[in-house]
Order: sequence, then structure tokens, then C-alpha cells
Amino acid sequence: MSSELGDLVLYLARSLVDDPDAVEIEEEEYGQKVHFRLAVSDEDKGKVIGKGGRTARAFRLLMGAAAAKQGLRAELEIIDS
Amino acid sequence: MEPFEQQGKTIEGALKAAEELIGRKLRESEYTVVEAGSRGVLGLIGARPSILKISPKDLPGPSKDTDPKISQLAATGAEKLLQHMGFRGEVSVGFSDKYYKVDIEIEEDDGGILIGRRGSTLEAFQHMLRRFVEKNVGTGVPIVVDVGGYRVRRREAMIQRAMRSAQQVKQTGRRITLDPMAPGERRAVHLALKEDRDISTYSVGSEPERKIVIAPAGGGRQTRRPQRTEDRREREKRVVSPPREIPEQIPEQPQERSPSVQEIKPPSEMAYGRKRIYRRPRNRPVKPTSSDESR
Repeated sequence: MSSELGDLVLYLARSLVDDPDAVEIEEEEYGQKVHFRLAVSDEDKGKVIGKGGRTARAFRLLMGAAAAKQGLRAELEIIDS
Repeated sequence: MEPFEQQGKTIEGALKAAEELIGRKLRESEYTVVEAGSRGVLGLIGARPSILKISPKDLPGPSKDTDPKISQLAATGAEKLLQHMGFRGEVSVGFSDKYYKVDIEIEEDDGGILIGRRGSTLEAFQHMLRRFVEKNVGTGVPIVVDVGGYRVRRREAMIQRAMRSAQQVKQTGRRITLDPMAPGERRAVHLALKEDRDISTYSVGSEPERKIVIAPAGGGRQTRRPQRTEDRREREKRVVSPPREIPEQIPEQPQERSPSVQEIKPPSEMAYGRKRIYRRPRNRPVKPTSSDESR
């Protein structure tokens, strides 16, 4: 089920960045919790984070809604590549 | 928009209140200082409010014509986003006033999840859709997303509630702090109550917990100490991480409190070396209750 969440994470990230090929995600499941690590190119990092972290917050909320529909919880970590 | 006057404790405060009413930042040419105001001695004696005259200009907003390309982008963007989130819904895009309006009709059970607490997820959806469309268009695009008419209903409900509270303020002469609202909702409430001369409205706190206060006219704001307008939850939050702008308001610092409280402290607790107890929890029974004894 959580691979659907992975789809969403990839989709959101690739839609935001200039270099979609540099987008990578890792996924780990802990019971009901799914943890994602997202790496994008250095230039695109600001795009997934947004002004004041607004885009990152929106990212997490949308993941949260999608996860809630499946009875899961989602976490997003944006990592330095 | 018609020119109006805005009062505030300081010029900055008045400006902020006016900007909230208008819903955007004001340019310097759009306001003049009528009365600079003064904080007075100790903020009590001789304090005069600052008054600004606001003459908002109708800014050349985004073009009033619908760009079919943008409508199309918004529609497909919203559909894809929904689909990837695992929601089924009908998307329709219209153009209302100055923005593209994306309406989503969705199965009732899912509506709540998509809207989120106080509309937070809906805001996120809207933000993301804007980013997507803007990436394709290259300029800012005003898009408002609604799910099943939530925004309209919520706004109306907030106005109704505020009006009832306004009546209560008039009857009791006491100010009322409303529940937290989103900026747009606050703006709608400020505007709805603007004509009522018997009360005045302003906002306290910081996003997303910012709340409207309805006060009796000619009262309130100048004599009110900020911390009293906050509820306990917010105050406790501030003890954990005090925002920089109001450090002097951190309540109940142990160092300040401890001397007087230590005198009250039962000696038995001192004997155990619990140095940092400065208040007995409110709910702990002092003596065992009768039901405990009978057991």
C-alpha cells in the first residue's frame, strides 16, 4: 500500500523541481508509519522547501491526507545529497 | 475600496490591522498618518492611539480575462494531484472575480480528510496546485481551491458566530476572543463587523493560532495587556519556545517564583530534595476522598 504513497512523493517532488531526474526517494516502514527520505539536486532544494518552508509543509500535509485515507501515517525528510 | 481610518496602538499596529482588513500589503502611497499617537507614561497616562488614513488603490490585478491555458493547467493539475493522493473527485474550474476557482466534488467521507484541520490540507492542496501551474506559466497565478463549498460555508459560519459574539460583547461590555481562523476568514469577519460602531475588532497571536478579539467600542485595546488575551494553551506553548518578540512575557519563571513559593512548600517535599516544585498540581486531592477511605 505504501508504494502508492511513494508514487505521490515522487509525483509531488518531480512536479516541483527543475531537474526531475535527480529526484530520489527512500522509503521505510515502521508499522503504520511510513518514512520517506527525499533527495533532490542542490539547486532544486529551495523549490521543495519553499518560502518559510511553506511548500514542504504543504508536501507533508498532502502526504498525510493520502496516508490517512489508507490508515497510515507518513513522514517526510528532505536530505542533503 | 473607500478610504477609511484605522486606529492602532502604534503606527505599525494600525498599519497591520488595515492590511489584514484589505487582505494585502499596503504601499506607502496608500496611507497617511493622521495622528502619530503616543504610548504615554508607562503606557497608561496620556496614551493616544495612532490613526492612519488608508486610501487603498485598486491595483491592476491579474488580468480579468480567463486564460484557457491556465484553466486547463489548473484542472489537469488538480485531477492528477487528487489521483496521486488516492482520492476520486470531480474537478471543475471557473473564473471568479480575480482568481481561478477550482472546485472539487468528492465523496463525502473523503471530504474531511482533504480539507484537514481548519482547512489546512485544503490550503496545502491549493499551494501545491499554484506551484505546479506557476511552474508552467512562469508568473504568479491566483488560484483558489474549494472542496464541496467548504470555504463559503465556513466563512459564513464564522461570520454568524462572530455576530453572535458581538451581541454578547455589547450586552456584557466584555471582550470576546474567537477561535483561531485563517487569514481570509479573519478578513471576512473584520469586514462583516466593520460597520458596527458599538464594537471594534482586532487580532492577537501569531499564525496559525491568530484570533480575532471583539471588544466594546472605545475600550479595550489600549488598556489590555497582551498576555491576558491568550488562552492557557498558547501560553504554555510559549514557555516551551518563547518567540523572540515577546520574551518579557514568559510567565512563571522558576527563579522569579521560587522564593515566595518555597515558603509555602510543605517541609516533607523539601526533605526529599525536590527543589523545583513550585506549585502543587491543581487537580491533586489534598486529602484522600471518602470513597478512597472506604475501599
